[in-house]
Amino acid sequence: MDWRAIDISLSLALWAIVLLIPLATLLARWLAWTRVRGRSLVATLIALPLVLPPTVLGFYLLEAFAPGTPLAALFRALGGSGSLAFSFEGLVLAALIFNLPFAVQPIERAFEAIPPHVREAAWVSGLGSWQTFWRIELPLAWPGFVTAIALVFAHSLGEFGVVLMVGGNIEGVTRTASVAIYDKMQALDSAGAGRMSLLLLAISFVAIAIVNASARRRGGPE
Amino acid sequence: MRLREERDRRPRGKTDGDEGRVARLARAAVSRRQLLAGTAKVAFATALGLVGHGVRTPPEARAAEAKRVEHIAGRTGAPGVVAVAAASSLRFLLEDLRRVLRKEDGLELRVSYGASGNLARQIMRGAPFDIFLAADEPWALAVAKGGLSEGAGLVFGLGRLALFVPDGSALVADGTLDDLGRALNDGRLMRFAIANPTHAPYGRAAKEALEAKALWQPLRPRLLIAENVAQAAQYALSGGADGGLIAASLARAPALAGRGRSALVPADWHGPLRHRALLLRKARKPARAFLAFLATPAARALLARHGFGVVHSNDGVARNND
Repeated sequence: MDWRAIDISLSLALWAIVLLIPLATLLARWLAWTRVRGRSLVATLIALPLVLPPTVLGFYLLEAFAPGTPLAALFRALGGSGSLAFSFEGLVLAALIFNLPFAVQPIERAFEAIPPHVREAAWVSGLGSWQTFWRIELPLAWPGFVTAIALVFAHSLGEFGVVLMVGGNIEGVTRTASVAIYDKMQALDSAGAGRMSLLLLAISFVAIAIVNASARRRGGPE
Repeated sequence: MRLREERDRRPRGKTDGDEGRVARLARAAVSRRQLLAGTAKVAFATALGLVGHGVRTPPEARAAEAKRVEHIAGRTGAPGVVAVAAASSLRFLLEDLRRVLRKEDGLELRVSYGASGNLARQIMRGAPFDIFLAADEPWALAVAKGGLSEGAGLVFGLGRLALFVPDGSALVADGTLDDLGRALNDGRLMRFAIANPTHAPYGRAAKEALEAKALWQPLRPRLLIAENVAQAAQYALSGGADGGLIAASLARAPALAGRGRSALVPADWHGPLRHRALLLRKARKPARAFLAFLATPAARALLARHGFGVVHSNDGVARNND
């Protein structure tokens, strides 16, 4: 078992969750309740990674990460060494993008499901918008958050094409578990590939089970 | 912001009935049970990650790591670690070498395998490798010309192309490829694996050898084009191909040799596969030691054992093919 690859996969998934869920919450809340022009454009952009071939995403990310681009300059300014492509940080950035719809959409659905009169009633009883968010919206939308976290986790572990293109299969840096399986196949080590596949299968199963369990619990506010 | 405005526009305390309902709703929403369930879920998700972190190293590996403190110092940049971008043909050789170097010199090789062309492209885009081991010269020299290496490195081995035929295939493992032509006509050959000629040196060599036998055009519709030569070997072994042209260094590895037959293709049927090692810019110190090791008799013996032709004169620095 390639534990280092599993470590990298789990770190990637954790970073994706920690960075993406707050961002997705803001986006989802805005998408759920806004009616401004341009809303559907934003929604379309967010959904794009769902249908975009991973090679297309990988190509654009590599272009954006190339030395000399603004992103690469920013990475250097923030103290990053070397290139953003083929680095773990670059992989995290890629994960934020390819996971965007998986994080935003379940949370958006959950916010949409909160009837407007519930929030109105909260304001009427004197709760500030921050308090309303923490004490009313967040608990009601919680199943959506659980779904988003589980999906981002599973998808970060599973993504292959983008990770291989942007990360480049560097042992100990960007060789995630799913890339390690591909690598083991080429090493003609099908036993090793089989063990890692089984582990990823189990993790994915648990993630989906969590999503289903949280969906069953989802009840209306009444 | 918008929310606050909406609230302020609304008359406070619309009706008592509404307020009672709000209170109920608010209470229901943050009821202990839900909070607990929610917390448990977060804790679980976090634990899943943290546990993974904790168990990442089995005890024996952890003990081995503890012995070399520098190894633990970090993912990259730690002393004693050399990041190598290596042609796929070198896979089994480097796995051997890596065991030797770890035991005798405490040197840790971190190797990424791929087609030389892809690796060269990654290096040109700033991939953080210390050493580039290319399976032929053009890719290595392109990197050197880009100013990404210290000099032009050295040629450390000569690759050979081999026809590999898996057990169960009706092909004859015949290095002159005569049977390949016959099999194409009598229907014994459905699929044949080679590496991608555009960026994999052994794929390029395979194409040249097939062209030398006038088999390239007739064989084309039946080719399985692999990303690199190790994948071509995998296709030939288990991917449903009846055979393949792969690196001799892979064909004689136990994983393949035990499950098929192979024969060397005459070396003059294709351009040379001169494996060249480059020390990349900003390479960490142990990389230099690794490069020096490649020219030692011990390394040459290992190369020969893995089916590489051995280079006796170090003509690396001055030589330039174009």
